[in-house]
Amino acid sequence: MSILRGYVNQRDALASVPHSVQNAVLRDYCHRHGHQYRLAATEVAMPGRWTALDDVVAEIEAPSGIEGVVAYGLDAFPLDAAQSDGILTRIVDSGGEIHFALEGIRLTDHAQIDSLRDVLVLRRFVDGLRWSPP
Amino acid sequence: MARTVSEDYLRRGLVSRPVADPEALAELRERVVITAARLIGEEPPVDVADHDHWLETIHHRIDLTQLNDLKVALMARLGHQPEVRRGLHAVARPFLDELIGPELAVQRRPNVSVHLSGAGAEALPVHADTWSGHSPFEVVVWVPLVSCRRTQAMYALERPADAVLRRDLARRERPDAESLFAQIASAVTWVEVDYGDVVMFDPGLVHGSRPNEEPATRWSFNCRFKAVFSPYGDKGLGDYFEPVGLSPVTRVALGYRHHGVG
Repeated sequence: MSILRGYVNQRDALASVPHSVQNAVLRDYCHRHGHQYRLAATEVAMPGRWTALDDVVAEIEAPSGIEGVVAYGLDAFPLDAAQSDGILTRIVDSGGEIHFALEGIRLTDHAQIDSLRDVLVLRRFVDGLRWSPP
Repeated sequence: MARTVSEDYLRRGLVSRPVADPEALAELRERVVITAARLIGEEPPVDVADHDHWLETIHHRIDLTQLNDLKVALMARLGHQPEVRRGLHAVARPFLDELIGPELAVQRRPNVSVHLSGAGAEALPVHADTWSGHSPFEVVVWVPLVSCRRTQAMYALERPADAVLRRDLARRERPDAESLFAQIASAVTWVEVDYGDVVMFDPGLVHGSRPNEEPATRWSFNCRFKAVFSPYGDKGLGDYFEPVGLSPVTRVALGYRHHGVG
């Protein structure tokens, strides 16, 4: 069981998922997995800025009692793979955990980040590959 | 002359072959037996030769009211294990290579199905996976852990019969699942398979299960595979699928940056 800071972001792919829904998913995820949920940090609306996420990372790096972050889903993190990679690495380097509630993904070490890296990069290329019935 | 996997898939939409890796299948089955036995408070059978009997007779030790809890717990335990995905890939690998190619997206959490034998047993209503958000670019890999006969097995409409149903349903309102099954019952194929076989089928084909009236319970895995660079339905990369077998060219291309950029 870990103490996790929630993180919600209503930009880009998550524009249609209200904060209330994201928060409900985070609370449910923590409840089901036995984690202590700490109220979510909300990302700023300005495109390309990751102020709230940076604050959460700093909170994990500091001796604050927060042991990790739980985000609504992979889409909550930067689409830019290098940027996303840097954030994930910083958290793991400080002994923290990253959880993506929607996908049920938990990252605690570099090997797990490596295995997720392909997914993060590939998603940029397959985003437009959508099938719908003719 | 025997038809190739591709010919069968194109003609029937449903292909059954002996697994490519029997050891991987045995390992999958052992994993299921050990996990399920512990979940219901039993010691797993020590002798591998007893696994078949243990699985087929589970309905003597649990009832329908306990089945849901067992399935949920099995999914929670097995669904996250990368060894299960790797095993399912191994048993079907050469066939998937032929049908899709080697660069795949694999379902992150394969499903385990327990189709209990006996009165009041559950049915899986007639459906096509594409009716609920799956892409027709997927292939369903169905791996029985025991031999399956008649109602213990799943059924499916093969491609020619499925095409007839499509035309028919286009002309009138869709009936409920039971009425639909009654309409297609004489045309379905019962996918009777032995332990050691793997089935691959088109997710656009109508299929399902009837209450299991045979004396043995069915246990099976189902797991979806698709080309990683092919259209996705509601089940996306990251949430439902993960990549496997990326080629060297793809790996290099994914990391590409223009000179002087990044």
